[in-house]
Amino acid sequence: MRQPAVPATKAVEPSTVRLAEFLSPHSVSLSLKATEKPEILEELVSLLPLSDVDRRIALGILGQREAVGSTGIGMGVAIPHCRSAIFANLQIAFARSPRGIAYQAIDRKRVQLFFLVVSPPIEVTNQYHAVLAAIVNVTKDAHNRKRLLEAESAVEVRSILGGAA
Amino acid sequence: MNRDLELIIRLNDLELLYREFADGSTSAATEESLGFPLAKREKVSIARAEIRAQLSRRLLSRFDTIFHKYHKAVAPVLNGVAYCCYEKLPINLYASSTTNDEITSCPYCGKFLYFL
Repeated sequence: MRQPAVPATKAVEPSTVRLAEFLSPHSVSLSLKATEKPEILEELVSLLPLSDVDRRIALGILGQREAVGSTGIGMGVAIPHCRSAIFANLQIAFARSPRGIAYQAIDRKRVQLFFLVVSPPIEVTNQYHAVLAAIVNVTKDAHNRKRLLEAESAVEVRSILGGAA
Repeated sequence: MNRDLELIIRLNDLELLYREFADGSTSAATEESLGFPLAKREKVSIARAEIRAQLSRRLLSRFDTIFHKYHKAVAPVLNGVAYCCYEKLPINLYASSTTNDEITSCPYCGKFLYFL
């Protein structure tokens, strides 16, 4: 059963976040089929348990967020993210493109690792930015990126994220 | 799903995004410090205007009044509870609206309800 969003409490330290708690094994794809940015967002959103209408709304706000500035932060990593009233709780989806995709990242390199982060506008544990920061911290480490590129299962991905956050 | 309700949710999301990335906001500073460039914030304004143009004056006025008062205009409903006032909704409202085919409001605060 989905859990509700309730008013936020104080900010959370990224070091205390356990990313794997927000990542369902069903929300992991190790072989993205998409080759263009809009298709990638669609494929990422499809990893979350959402209705067709909710997917459409999610893609709309994600597209707007990308229009403000690419969420491709370099080093082959992109973290598309958004908040919307359609989300009951904070969720992460992870997808990997072995060949890499042109995503207008800040370093103009192709992106292989994608983390989708969605959240209600206000969530109980106030972890939205802490989760973003934790993903940035994990993926800054070349060893973690290599492990994520080589992971063979969703369980392994969750293990890397759970252990490294 | 009701088309106007979908527009209201999208507008609510955009208004929140607009405020999140306003000059000097903590959220904008946090995102930039994490390495997310926010170079084209004006794009959100354009998208807001496009959605506003599709809503009736009556709905838009209601949206603006609620958003101005509460800083959000949409509340999700889970298991019969509206997550704005955290009150159980009257059973007749909950029973007839769960498909989001019509626009319903919280009987306590007036926010637009979205049944998850």
